[in-house]
Amino acid sequence: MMYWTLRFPKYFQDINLWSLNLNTVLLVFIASFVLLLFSFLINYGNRISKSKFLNYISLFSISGYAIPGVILALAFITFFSWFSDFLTLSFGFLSIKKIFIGSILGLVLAYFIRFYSLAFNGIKSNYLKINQSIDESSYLLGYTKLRTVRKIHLPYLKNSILLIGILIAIEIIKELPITLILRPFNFDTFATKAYSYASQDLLEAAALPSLFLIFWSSILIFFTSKYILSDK
Amino acid sequence: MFNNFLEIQNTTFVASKLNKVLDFNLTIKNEGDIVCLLGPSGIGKTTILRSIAGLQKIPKGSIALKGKILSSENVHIDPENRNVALSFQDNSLFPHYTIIENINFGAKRNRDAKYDFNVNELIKVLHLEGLEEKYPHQISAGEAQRVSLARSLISNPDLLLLDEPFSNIDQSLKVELQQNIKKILKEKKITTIIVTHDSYEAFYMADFCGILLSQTMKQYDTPYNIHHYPNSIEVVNFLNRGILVDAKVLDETSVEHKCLGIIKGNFVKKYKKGTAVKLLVQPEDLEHDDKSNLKLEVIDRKFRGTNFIYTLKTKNEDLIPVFVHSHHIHQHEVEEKFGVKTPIYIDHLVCF
Repeated sequence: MMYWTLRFPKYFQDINLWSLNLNTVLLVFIASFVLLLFSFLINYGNRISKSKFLNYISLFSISGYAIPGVILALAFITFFSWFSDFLTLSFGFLSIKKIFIGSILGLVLAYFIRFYSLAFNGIKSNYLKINQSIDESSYLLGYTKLRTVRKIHLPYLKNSILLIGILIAIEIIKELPITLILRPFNFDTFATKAYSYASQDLLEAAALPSLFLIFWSSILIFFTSKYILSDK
Repeated sequence: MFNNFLEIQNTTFVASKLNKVLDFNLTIKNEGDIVCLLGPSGIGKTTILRSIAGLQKIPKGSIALKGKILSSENVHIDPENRNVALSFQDNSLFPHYTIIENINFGAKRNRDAKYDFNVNELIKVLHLEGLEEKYPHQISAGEAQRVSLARSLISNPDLLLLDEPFSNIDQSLKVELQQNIKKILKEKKITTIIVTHDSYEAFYMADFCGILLSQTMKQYDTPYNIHHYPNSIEVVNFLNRGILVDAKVLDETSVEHKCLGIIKGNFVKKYKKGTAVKLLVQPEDLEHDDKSNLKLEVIDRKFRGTNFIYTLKTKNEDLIPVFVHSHHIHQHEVEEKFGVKTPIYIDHLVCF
């Protein structure tokens, strides 16, 4: 791929590298953040309340990982088209299709459904390692629930949250079907760009976005092994 | 309304569906008193501590500290607002902080507290030197228990609750720690409730002891009274004090046993002449005397370091334990005859 990249430098101009990088980083950042935040909150809710409802939600939402990306994307479109039409017909709302289909929000939502189990279970398994009596002793030392989260839980989970975030980031960088189907018009990531060139048999042009894809993933993996896994 | 330092009234504690403590009353009059709760495993002692600390709600009754209700049917103050410290039996140190950081977690609580602990002083008293920079997984269970104790102490609680504080600590260190901790608690006037199943620990540490048996507080009194004046057969059995033999009250200072003869002493409670009672006979009550006419058969002999415990069988099949100093030159084998000095005199005649 490097050979192809160097051999056909004209594709450097064809591809808007800035926008590709920006798109990818933006998507990854927003999606990982939302995923981690929700996973943490639901996990914490499960931990302190033992409510059946939360438990049910978390069980149900884990199933997203089992659905292939294409099917998920199509189901997503079908559902929101129907839902939007339903709202328009019954309540006279403006069409909300545009908000969810072909938008960043829709993409993030679809990623959320797809990768929620990854984030949720990753945090859960680490959360279970700290005993309930740890929380209790923190309360007994005068720490409120919020301060317990800040002083005890977050410092403890910091590394695993980062690690899971990186895993999700790598998954999202190379995620093709969902991005391809649900992306906004003219919105490209490395994966979709590489795919579109490859599908036109322009293998030499596909090389550059592929290299970038590998580059970003490698950076994340390098970061993981250097700063997170090494000190344990 | 509440004049006492701690007042627990008619409270029900629920450990599990089957395991409850009912109608529990406990009053600590003075600040700085140490109370020990003794009871067999699984009776709900830990639940009582957890409820006082606010980690569990109580379905009935009330808990008031310094005149303020902490828990009742409709009131529940969160544990972080109670200023009650609980040191857990199992290790509950924060795994990602060092020992010194763990201890300091407690220090931030009450800056304007009435007493002030020096971290280094506590570390010295509890023998935690050299562990400051280690992490909880690098130290032993006994050490972790002491760290947890230090963390609780340094948080300057109004009420300190200790759940089996010395259970993982070895025998030689235990005695020293009990002394040190009792000294600290008394000096700083920290009101403490200790839960334990070791009666010697309870008797040494406590100003008052409570015996918890079959869902309720059977007896609450000073250690001396608990030991010498147990108020029920259950308490006697739990403290493993001795055995109960059938006897008959002769007059105001003596009872008669079919085989041991007349036993003199002072009755704890008054009985009418001729009443059939169960008399408590403890190992230290009988004395060995080879010349005595009263000879009993040896059933068993246990070596216990400073003394032997002989188990003797009387004619009416009672098995009576007797202490004999282990320096005693001659020993008696099983099935031999063993002389018991007569007449028998027992200081406190405990009868039921």
